[in-house]
Amino acid sequence: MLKKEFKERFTNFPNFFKSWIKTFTGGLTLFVVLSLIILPFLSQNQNFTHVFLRQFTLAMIFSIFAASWDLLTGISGQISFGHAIFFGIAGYLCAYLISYQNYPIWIAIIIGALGAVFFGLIIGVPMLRLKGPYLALGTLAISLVLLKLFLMGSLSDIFFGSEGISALPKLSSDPVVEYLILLILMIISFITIIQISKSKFGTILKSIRDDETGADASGINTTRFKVYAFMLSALFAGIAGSCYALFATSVNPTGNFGAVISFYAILMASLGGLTTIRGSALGAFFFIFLEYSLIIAGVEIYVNLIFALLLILVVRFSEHGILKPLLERIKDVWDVLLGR
Amino acid sequence: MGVILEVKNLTKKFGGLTAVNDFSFEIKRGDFIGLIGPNGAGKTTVFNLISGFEKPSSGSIRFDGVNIAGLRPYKIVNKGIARTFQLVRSFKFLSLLDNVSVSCQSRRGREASKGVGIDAYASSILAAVGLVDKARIPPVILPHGDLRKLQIGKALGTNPELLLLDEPFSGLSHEEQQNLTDLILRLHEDGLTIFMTGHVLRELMNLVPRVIAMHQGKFIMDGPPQEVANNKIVLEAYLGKGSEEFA
Amino acid sequence: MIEDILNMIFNGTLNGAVLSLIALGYSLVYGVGGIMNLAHGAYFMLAGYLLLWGLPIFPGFLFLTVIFAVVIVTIIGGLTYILLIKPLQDSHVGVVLITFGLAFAIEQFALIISGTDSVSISDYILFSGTTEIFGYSMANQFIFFIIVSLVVVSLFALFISKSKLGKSIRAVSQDREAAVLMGINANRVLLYTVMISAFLAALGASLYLPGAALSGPSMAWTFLTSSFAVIILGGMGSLVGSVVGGYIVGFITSFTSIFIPNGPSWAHVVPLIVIIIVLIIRPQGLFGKKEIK
Repeated sequence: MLKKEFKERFTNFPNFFKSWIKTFTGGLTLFVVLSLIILPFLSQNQNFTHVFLRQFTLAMIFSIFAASWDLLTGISGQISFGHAIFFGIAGYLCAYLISYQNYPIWIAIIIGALGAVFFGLIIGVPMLRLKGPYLALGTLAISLVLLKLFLMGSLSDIFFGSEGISALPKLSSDPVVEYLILLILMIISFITIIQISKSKFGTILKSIRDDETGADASGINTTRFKVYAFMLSALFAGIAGSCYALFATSVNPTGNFGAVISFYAILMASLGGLTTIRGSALGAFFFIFLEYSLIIAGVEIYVNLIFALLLILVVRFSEHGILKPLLERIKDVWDVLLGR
Repeated sequence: MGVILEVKNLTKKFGGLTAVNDFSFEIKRGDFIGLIGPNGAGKTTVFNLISGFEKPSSGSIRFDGVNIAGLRPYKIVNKGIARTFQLVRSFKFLSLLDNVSVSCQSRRGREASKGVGIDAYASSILAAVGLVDKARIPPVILPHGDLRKLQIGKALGTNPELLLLDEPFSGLSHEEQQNLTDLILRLHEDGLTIFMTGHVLRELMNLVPRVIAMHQGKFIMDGPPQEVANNKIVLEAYLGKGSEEFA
Repeated sequence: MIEDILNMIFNGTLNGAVLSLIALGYSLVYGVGGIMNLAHGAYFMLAGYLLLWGLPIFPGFLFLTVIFAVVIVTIIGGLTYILLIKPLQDSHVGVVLITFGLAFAIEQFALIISGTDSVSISDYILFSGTTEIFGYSMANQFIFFIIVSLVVVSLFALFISKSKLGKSIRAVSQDREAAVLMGINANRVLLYTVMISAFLAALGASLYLPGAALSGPSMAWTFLTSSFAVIILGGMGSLVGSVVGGYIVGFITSFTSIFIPNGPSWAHVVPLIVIIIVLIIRPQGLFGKKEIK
């Protein structure tokens, strides 16, 4: 069944692509992607490549992370408040393999991500008895406990203590190459996640989100699919987590497992609009650059507070995120310009 | 033409309340049976027990000879029993086609749709229930009658042998009822075994050849509608004591 | 050995006293309105920090600061309901997200003002010194706190069963629509419920934290996680469950801390293990049912 669908889409692709570009979303996405491809070549300035460009790279890492969260919460309806778990596990595993076991970078990244998937499985099974807010809190509890384990007490020494692991290599010593690698990863991840959400499998996930009892009554083994959703989401969160470890060249408990990380995923996806996977990218970029501006303005200490208030406002006043209405305004202008 | 569903001594207690009490009956393949009883008689509980949404306190439920009591709903669906709900439910944010295609992805549904593909199969089901022109629309804007048809469509997507319809006529206009009745009769003619509940008697009694009556969780009688309608105990259940005079 | 056992008993009771107060409020709000207020741990933490920040304000009359702290947190609870929870009551995801955001905001706020270091607010201790039993010393403030906690829980039980508001609360928790039909203003009841829960948290904080010290704003999450474990163990929505569960979790934690090798580290994991075990063995907890009993 899956093969047939794949074949159909594959052969259909050129036509699909042509008509897609003509739509607003399609055209805009293409424009954005092209701009992102061109961006690194616009300036040779050291400041530009080593600082400014790296912000984009960071935004792309978090885009993948936010999209993974949206896949689990927005598409599958499983509220995760502990997404830092997958992010952190992958980061630590990747860091450990590179630093202590001399694994090559790419193998370490993949194994890190797979480690996160494994966690998705073992967490999914007990936690999925919880629904809604309970699941949210359950996943939060796990992430907090993991944080404590890594951070405090004598047990944490097994896990490298509060210092973590440092002196990790970067994805590439050339920030432009690093940027392009992440751009490719981001595009692949997004295409994959979006295709998953549009597929028949994705329809099942959405049905579980909309009415789990109804899905059960339709003959769907909801537990199995919820676990799949967890594992898939963990995979992408893990990819992001591994890349982040290499971006920051170190891992430590608070930086990789902190509740703030989970919070960031939620905020970014919410800003962009829950369930619109693309929105997660917008949310991530918006977030990273807002943070960057605040840091430059010298109000670094207020960053998280401002974001917390932003989340409250977004959730309270705009369930579709702030970016979707904004895009709709732009779209209206676009339509007017095209005389529709 | 054998027994498709055999329920023996089915009992369900909720704390101190016995919702279903030592209930037994049999349904044969191809039957078309109504389950009646006043509000609170336990009809929906019986359905919940058969379809796996509740676990029996005691008793057995055998489908095609296999005990299904206490199995999870999706497993029971994949054995061949599908149901609709009294309070209409749907996947709000999915199109009608997707609503049905979810059921078509159950194990039974997949087997049934193997040749033509899931979307085509789901489309044909929507056509069968008269909703194919609304395939791309999400359920939110549909009138009540269409939602009830959608539920049946979703149930059909699992290619059931036994269809449980829980109060399918409630909240429908006369015309919608007629429409739905035609659909249900057609499904029965095509070979589906149908077990239906209702508490408004008129449309049910004119529709089904056989009725099982229950009251306060207990079995009262099983027989053709005319007999059941004239039964003393049934009348008392519906109208209160002293109502034999109305027979 | 005796000392260890006494230590375990005392600390277990102490933990139970704190957890039961916090979990009681948390469980109350869930039972009545189906609301998971993730900011609940933050209320507890905030009360403690308000005491810290209020030190220079009424130097000779610290009890005034305590009153202010409790009142402010109670009001914040009320505002949480009016401004954030009520408008989103149809969306489960929304309530969870927004109270999460609030918890974060409160944590960050405290972080900005006071940083992450541990601070002591021992100025607020009402009963200093210690009492000895069989060679084991117990802080008098904690003894006082345990007694107050038990008294408050008992008074609360009386309140819920006898008072008019208490009965309204129970009615709404059992069947909101029916309660409304009987003329109860469910909205008002929910508001009071959230305020009462915040009050209990703040009260607990003002009597417990002076003896224990503020361990950083992140303690909001620690207490939230522990309360969650308590209500899962006790049964979602059961008030008796949150009290009993509180003491059980309290004892398990102190036992782990003292008798298991690397105890204090493992003690952090206790809430999680409780959650997982309960979910696997008996998901509805000890007294689970969605009714207030």
